[in-house]
Amino acid sequence: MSDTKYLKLARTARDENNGEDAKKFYDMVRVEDPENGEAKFFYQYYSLYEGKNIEIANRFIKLVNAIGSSIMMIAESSDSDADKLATVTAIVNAYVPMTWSINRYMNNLTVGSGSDRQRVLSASDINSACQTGVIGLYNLGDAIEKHFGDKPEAMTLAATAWKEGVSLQQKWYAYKYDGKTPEEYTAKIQKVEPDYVMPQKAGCISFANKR
Amino acid sequence: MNYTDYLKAKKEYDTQRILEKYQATRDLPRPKTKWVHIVLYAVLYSFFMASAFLLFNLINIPTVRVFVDILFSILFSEAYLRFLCIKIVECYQHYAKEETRRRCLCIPSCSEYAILCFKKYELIFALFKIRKRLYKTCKGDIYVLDFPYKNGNKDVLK
Repeated sequence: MSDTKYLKLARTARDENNGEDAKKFYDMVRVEDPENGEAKFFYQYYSLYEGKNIEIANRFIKLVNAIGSSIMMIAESSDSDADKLATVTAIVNAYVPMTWSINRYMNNLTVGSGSDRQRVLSASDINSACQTGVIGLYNLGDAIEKHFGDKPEAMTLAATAWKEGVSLQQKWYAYKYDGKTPEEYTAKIQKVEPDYVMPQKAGCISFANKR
Repeated sequence: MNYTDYLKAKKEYDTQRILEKYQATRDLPRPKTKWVHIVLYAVLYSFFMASAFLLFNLINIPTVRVFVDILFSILFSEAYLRFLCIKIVECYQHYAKEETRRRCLCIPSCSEYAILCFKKYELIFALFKIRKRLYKTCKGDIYVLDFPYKNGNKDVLK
């Protein structure tokens, strides 16, 4: 299934950072093969960048919800192990920087200047994107562990997603993450990378233990 | 939001990862200043002040006494208190746990920034700058290059 014309074009567009074409071709792949996990994920991924800023949080939730099923579809496809791993690597590389970058983008959307400076998006939207993103990172790692747990390369990818999740959770410690704790995921990461040390809560004066 | 905006934010993310790596592995200075030194400097300060005021009280010209008192307070106390503040920060650097010091998101770290401020600016101004650094800049999830003086960032990037 990896050799379809549209999938090749979509991957080329993705490599060229051409979001518009990539979304179009991934949509065609979805129509042609609805069980293609890569197309399912990347269609949602590129859909995030269309529409109004106020919809970002909702579209981000849709993307996060697509992660688990996309990884499952990739695992159950008839592709070779190398192809599956390459697809999972692409998903991890695309999703891991996303949470921080989306949060940064949302925070930077402001109007006015000086003391009149105000955010365009509400704090609840921004917080929701933070929480969704971190939960998505954990879910991505969990899905990879569930379907590719026997492959060390895949587990390294899972650890990459978990590490980003732990790192962000230690910076955004005031929010709730569905009962997922950084300690729990640090233990998981240490099974893959024994030298890993959980990062500290960020900020010199963080009052971290009081929240 | 369009994809180009996202790519800009992602570029910033890549820079952040470089700074995070630097922050996690940077050398943290451990000066030899201990709490005993702080106590000694504080006692010395009290001694100087007490002896100076005693000396001025022996002079029976009130105008001169007031003038000298004010001048002395401004020049000596301000300089000495800044010196004492630097020593207190160095004492913190000596005793603080590594995990506490690695929390800092800024380059240079907040304690190094405080020392630079005390060396460069007047006490009050330095304290304001340090407060801003601790409560505003070193907060959240963004690693920053932040020096108290102009061109500091350029010096580091060289």
